[in-house]
Amino acid sequence: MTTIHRSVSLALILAAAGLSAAPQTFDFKDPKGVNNVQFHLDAPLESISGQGTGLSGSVVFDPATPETITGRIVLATASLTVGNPTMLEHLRGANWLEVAKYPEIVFEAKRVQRAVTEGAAIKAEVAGVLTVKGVSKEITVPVTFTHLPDKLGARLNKPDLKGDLLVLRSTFAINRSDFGIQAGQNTDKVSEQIELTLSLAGAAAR
Amino acid sequence: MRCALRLAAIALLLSSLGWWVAAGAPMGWWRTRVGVERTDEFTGLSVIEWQERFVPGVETPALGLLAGGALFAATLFFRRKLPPNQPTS
Repeated sequence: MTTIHRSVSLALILAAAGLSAAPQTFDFKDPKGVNNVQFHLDAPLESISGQGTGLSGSVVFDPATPETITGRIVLATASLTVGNPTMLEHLRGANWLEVAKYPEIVFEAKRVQRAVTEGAAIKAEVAGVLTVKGVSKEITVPVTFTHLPDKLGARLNKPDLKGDLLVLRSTFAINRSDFGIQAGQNTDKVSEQIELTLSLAGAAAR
Repeated sequence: MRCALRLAAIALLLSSLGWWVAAGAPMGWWRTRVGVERTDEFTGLSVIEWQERFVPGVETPALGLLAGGALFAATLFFRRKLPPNQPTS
């Protein structure tokens, strides 16, 4: 009887441990409209800065094993915007991002090369495939993950809603010619390098 | 007429320059929207919110100079009006 009791208790403990460490799928379609990707390019007269907010996708994350992160983040190119209307027209046009033909920019995370926990944050090098204007390229980007347990309801002002948040921050640069964006052209007017800053919050409801 | 047009040319130049300087003399192209940063208190993430507002760029004083210059140049084709007792030859 005692052995059976101990076995059942052990099984229950193991099951509880498994449940609390289970990977969660975080959805990055943000109802508050905060998720964004900002871009920046240098230019002789004035640097070009803008933002895209049409983000969606999901990431599977287990705080116990951060090196197992996988996921897919999608940016709707039609959501990209800058302050000058002529510049915006060029950005969306055939010579640059060709938004009508290529409606999405996608990053597919394949593996984590290095994950280090620093306080509440996990800093990782995430390798994956970035697809821009129909061109796919393997890149590795630094990402900081911050897991916020039980914060979903408070963030959306719905106390009855249970769930966690996963905040992603990343800053990295790409070369536009690597993705066939005016490759080798207008380098005197617009810099080759595009700096990208991602600020994303995903939600996993329970 | 000539004098009035010349004054108008100078006014056009000065007003376009003044407008640009008053906007902070931005060294960029004009914008029809301005970004204002908003921070989400729970995640600490910041997002730019766009406000529809015209901000003059370097084109503004340049266009003012061109338009004022063209107006001034047009006044050179106007014959100067002499006082009634002056001989015309």
